[in-house]
Amino acid sequence: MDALGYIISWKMRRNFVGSIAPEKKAASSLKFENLLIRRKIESLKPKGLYIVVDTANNLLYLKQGKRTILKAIVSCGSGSVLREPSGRREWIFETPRGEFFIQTKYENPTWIKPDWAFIEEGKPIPKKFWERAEPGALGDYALGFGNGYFIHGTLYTRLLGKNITHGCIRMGDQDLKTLYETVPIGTKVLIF
Amino acid sequence: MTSLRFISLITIIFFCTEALSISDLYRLGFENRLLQSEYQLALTSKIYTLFDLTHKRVQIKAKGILLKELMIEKFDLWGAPIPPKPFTIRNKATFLKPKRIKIRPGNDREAFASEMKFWGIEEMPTRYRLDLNDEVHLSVRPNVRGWIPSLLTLGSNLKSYVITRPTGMLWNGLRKKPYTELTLYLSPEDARALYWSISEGSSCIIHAFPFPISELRGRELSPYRQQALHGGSNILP
Repeated sequence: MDALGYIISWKMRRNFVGSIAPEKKAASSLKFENLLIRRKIESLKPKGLYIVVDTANNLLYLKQGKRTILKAIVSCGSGSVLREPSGRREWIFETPRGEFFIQTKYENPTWIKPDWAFIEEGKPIPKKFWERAEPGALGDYALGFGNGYFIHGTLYTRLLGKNITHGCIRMGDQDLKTLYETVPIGTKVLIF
Repeated sequence: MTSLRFISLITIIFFCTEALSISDLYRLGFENRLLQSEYQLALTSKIYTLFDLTHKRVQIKAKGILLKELMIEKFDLWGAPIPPKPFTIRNKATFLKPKRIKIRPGNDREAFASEMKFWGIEEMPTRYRLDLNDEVHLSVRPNVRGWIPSLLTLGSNLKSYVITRPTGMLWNGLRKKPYTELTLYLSPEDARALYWSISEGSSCIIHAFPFPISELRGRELSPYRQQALHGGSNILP
């Protein structure tokens, strides 16, 4: 059967090689075209500062080109699941992955607790907005990167380096201060 | 005199560039499609993976930036050749899927944080299968020694040789569709990291040049091949 696979794949390979043949193109034009595409890809890379978050190893890098300006231990999403007792809603606490931008910056932020925070604590969801406010929970600074996700401080510094959060990225006080003071709004954030 | 030297230098460079063998032309054509595919993915805001079998590495990238690189220790490619185009990871399957921790409502957050078992990279599997579109199936195995891992690898290889490959080949052969099985052997840490980083629905490119370069090198360009190369036909004799 294995041999049969190789015979069939050989036949397919012959057809395939035909399909990738550089038709009507000289080597020099192909080389030039490849160089152009490489440049196009290169042009997509951020020009200034950008943040890279490695959710597997709970590390945050502040970079400029290939140079790393800051490497910090963080805490990313726990991947845990919370279901509302009624079963109507469910949350998966993961840090989103992909390309984002720093959209907001706050000093001494107040956490406006979402519904899941009350459900998690087994408390009723308040009807008044101000009852949701919890000052101090996010540390000294918070940098929002969209959809309610923030890079912020933590009260649980001993848990840094572990996947424990509800999707936000928690940092130690000193690293957070450096990050807050260095990056402007619009900085690219790449999370993987 | 200087201009004459310059002209001869340009002429030499021109002829050197053009005097490429057929293998180089294929390589350039393949590279061209590969780069076009990567550019297509780099334009999006998503993370993509490049399985580079030629250089035995897996690259996790975004916007053309290399975020993480993992080494492929060995690989086994079986079936139809893989075109240099973007694929979508449709399914991520493993025998024992890591279970997400369920939060019981009503827990005190700090007490919960101190007692909870963390969902981390250590919980990720080292043996899994990624099903891509166009019947490309990618299996990841840990490259470890010892009789238990060897037994597991033997079992999965047997399953692959006796069940998966024949049925896949037969079914797709009848439908006249290509079928490819790719097995990557990574270190256990890298296998876990890859499982963590890859999500269903994300895109990837497989860089697997269909021929070893040596297979094409030194071959004379037959009239049929010339015709195929210059647009006469898409199928090589």
